[in-house]
Amino acid sequence: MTFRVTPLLFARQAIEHARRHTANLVNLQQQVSTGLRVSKPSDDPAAVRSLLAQKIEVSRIDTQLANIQDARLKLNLSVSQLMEVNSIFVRAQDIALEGNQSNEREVLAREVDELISRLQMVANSKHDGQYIFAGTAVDSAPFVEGANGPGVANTVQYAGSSDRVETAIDSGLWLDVFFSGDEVFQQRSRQQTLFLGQTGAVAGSGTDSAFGQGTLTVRHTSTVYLGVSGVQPGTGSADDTIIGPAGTHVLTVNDTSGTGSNGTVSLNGGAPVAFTSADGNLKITGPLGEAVYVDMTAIAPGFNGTVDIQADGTLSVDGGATTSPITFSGNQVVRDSITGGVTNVDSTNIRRAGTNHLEYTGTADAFQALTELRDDLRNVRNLSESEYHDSMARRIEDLKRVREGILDIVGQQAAELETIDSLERRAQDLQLESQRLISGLESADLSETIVNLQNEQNLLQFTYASSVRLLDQSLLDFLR
Amino acid sequence: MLNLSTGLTALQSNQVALDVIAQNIANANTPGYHRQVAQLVERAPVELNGLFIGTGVDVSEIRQIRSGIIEEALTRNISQRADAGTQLDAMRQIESLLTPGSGSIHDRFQTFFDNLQQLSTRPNDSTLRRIVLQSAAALTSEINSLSDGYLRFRSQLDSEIEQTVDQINGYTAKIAQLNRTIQIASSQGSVPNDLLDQRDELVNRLAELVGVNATQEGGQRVTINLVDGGVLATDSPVPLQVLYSQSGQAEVAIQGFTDPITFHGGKLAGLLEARNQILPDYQQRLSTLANGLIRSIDAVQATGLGSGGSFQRLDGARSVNNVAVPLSNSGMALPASAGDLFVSVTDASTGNRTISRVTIDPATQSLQDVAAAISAIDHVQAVVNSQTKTLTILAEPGYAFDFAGRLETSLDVSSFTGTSSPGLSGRYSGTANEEFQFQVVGTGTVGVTPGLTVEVRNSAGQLINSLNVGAGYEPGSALSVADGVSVSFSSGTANSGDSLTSPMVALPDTSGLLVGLGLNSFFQGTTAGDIRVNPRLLQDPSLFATSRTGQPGDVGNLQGLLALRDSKVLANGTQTFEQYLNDMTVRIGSQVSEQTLITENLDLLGSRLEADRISFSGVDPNEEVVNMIQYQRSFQAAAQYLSTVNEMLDDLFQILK
Repeated sequence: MTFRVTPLLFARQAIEHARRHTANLVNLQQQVSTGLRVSKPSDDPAAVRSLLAQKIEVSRIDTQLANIQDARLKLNLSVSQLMEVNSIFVRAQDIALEGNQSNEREVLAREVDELISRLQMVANSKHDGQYIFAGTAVDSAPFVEGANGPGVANTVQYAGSSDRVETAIDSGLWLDVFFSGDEVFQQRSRQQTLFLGQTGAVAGSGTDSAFGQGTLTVRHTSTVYLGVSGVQPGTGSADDTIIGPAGTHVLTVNDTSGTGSNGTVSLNGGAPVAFTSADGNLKITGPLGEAVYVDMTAIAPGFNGTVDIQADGTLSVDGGATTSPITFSGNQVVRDSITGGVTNVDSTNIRRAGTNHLEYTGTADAFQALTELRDDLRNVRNLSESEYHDSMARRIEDLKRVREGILDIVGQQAAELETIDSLERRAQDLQLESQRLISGLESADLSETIVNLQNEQNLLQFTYASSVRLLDQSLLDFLR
Repeated sequence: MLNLSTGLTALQSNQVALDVIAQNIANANTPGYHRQVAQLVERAPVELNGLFIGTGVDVSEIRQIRSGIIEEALTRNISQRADAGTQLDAMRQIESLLTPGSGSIHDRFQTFFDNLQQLSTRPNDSTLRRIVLQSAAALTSEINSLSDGYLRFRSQLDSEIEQTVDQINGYTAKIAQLNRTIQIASSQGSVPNDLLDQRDELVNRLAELVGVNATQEGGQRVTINLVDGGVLATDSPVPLQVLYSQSGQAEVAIQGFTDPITFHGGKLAGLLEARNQILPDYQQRLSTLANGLIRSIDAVQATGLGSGGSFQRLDGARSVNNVAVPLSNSGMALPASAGDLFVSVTDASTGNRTISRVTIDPATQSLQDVAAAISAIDHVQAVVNSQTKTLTILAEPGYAFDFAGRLETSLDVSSFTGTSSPGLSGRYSGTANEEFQFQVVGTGTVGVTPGLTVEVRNSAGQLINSLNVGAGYEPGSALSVADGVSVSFSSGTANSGDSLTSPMVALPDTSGLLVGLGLNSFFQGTTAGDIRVNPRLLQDPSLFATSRTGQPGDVGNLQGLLALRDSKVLANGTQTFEQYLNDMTVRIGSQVSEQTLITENLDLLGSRLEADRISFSGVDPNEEVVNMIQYQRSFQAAAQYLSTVNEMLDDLFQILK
């Protein structure tokens, strides 16, 4: 059977084709006018999958770049503040060197005061209302005037947090932007504690926990004269300066009268001192300046010989607020009731009352390094000239150590800045790549689309033209 | 006279044939019209002198030119097209709700996470916090409106299903009516072609609504069956009705019955598919998304701290049905599971913090039991509100509580006989909850005695570190233990066997109780329809928990929130929120594009079948004109014949005169 073609079929097909071409035209026209190939998910589901992912990527990278800017600003700020600290310590070192030679020490000390207040300003500096060196406690000043106890050189205390402040570069990538103040300004590397002074106390075997400098006060409490000599502590015995277990100090009595009414007495082989039985408070000085006050009134008649002395005392590192009895042992722990820090003392050879200046070597923080320099320039501790020079050398060591610590932090932050730079470059590359992908997926290829548009238009015109021509044909035209 | 009647039949037959042609030409453009042909047959001959002589022509019938195969295929195609087209329309609706762009749910998710990331640069900035909370509010309102959009669409589909069923009932009633009329006409011997055409048209329109088979039986009756076989109409219609099942499905059953019918093809099948399958799928996905969002963000918020630090009082935002039955039966919208809750209690005057563990077992504990367990912690009380069926936790004056974990600052030293006092510092970075045990080995003075050590063991009893606290240890200085935790021992004595334990909390709430009860929650509500940012937070952005220590610059909790952007919490742990949403979008996009292809193919097939039908049954006026000329000529010839016969008879009469 041949295929019958009726005008109705003709018309239907003409209409259908025209409709299809028109629909394509509308679609292409939309692409040309919006420039987008994909405007709803069904236009190209596969492309939409990567499009959506890439768009998230682009907006994430936008935020990343903003956060990178912010982190860089904060790190740069921190680095420049720390470079200021560095210059403070460079100057302090110069001052310490000058102080070793010059006699204008008070002038220098005043300059150090200036440096201290500059350091305080830097340490409490803010960015945008947030303290830079407070760790995560960004709302309050991190370095505050601390409790000042007797013998406590620590004038500034850290009140911030020990946690660094982090900023998200991306959800899984966090950078430390603000370091905590304690790790910047309170770096320590404890060494053997230094005991300056004549009491005979030396560092014990234990490890100390006090910082900076301190004072060990060795006090005499009681003197006991052993044996049958009849020598008794004088009424002023409280001012005895000897300390030591029985036998470490010796009194030599020579009763020249034989009745105990008069004679000589000497301490530790020092110059003999004449006494009479009326002496109730006789001061006897030993060869090293140590002194005892004795009561000779009850001396045993005819006593010639030596008297072993036992002199007890106490130790204190908080200026006498709390004391602990001397045990003459290899390690005695003395606690500072104000700071809680402990000092281990080898008290075996303590022989005299007095004070020891303590230097907890390697533990001075930035502020202590400066205040100790200032105090030494003013010679608050009454050091001898040679001790002064030694001490200056140690101050210079401290300053150097603090400065190196600061530079180490600067180094870490510089490394972070480098990381940030490379992160930024990578983020920019990724963003470019994502944007390229997006435009490839989403944008219409204009030249192709326009050619297609033209093509569809032509087809539509052909459809119209041919339909009109063919529909016009009828047998009726040829009848009659 | 025979001869005259032969001519007469020719005249009559050609007349009828011309009438049929007239009818054909008149209906050349009528949709569904089948071309008719007058079927001419020879009349029975008569025998005359042994010769059989024809007696003319008759119109035996006026036949419709129809191909059953084409008609049936066309009917089927109409059903399929209507089904596919209806589904496509529904999918397009869903797609339009999910189309990404500015202000879309995709955009909201992105903005929310981007703002969170930005907040990390200044976590204590109230403006930035507000921006984050507002973008969260925008996200939730977009989720709400999407959910509303789906619900609106569903009720739209419901009413469309009802309308369609009404239309079907109308068509089947008419078809049954026609069946009766046609049968009566047929029984009188005539073929009512126009009625047949009408019925065909109705069947096709019915097929558009529901997939049917029309079977012609004896006589001219047509039985309309559903594709599955159920009868819809014979001489009387079988009306349908819409029912809504308990599970929320729309179902169609025969009136008076409840068994749902499965339809194949037709608009109704498409509507039911959209209403019961396609739409619920997306509703389900949206609710999974909202649920996951609530669960994960609330869990992080609940275990963090805002700028205000710990709490004096927390009121639960989510309730249970019954405060006295086990939690698992109490209808918690976000159910808790068996696990531990760690409560930190801080003494405001000393800053001392202790951590207590509360074991939660929803299978046995009711809300009241949980309250009692929490109240057993010193200085904290949990109260069940019997009206609202929520939980409120209160701290004694001078105390505060939180669920941020952290390290204890006040350690239980009841088993530590030495004078040295231990302390913890740092931040536990482990991923599992642990309990560290510190045990002294050797007796002596911290920082002095050689060989004095502290052994640290984890919950499993494994030795994780052995620390020297004797000679060479600076008393009070931090010794790194493990996972970011350090321990210090102040100057003093320590005796062999002295020990203490302290919990290391990585996950302060493994039970999900805080989320389930809405304690310190970020969101209110539990579903896509009612999810909202907790108004408490919107009023006071400082409550937004960005930290785990309460320090203004701490971002410990923000890290947890931001990590949610990349954590695969949905689709069985294979997709992030944004991936899940994108997957949903691409899914509907693919469905639309596939369905479009299916529809286009069916349309193509339909127009080919239509063309076939027109080609077979359609009217070609040219053909009709040719036929017309043919019949006209026949008519003229027959008239000429009659006139010839007439003349012949005249001639005969002349003879008689």
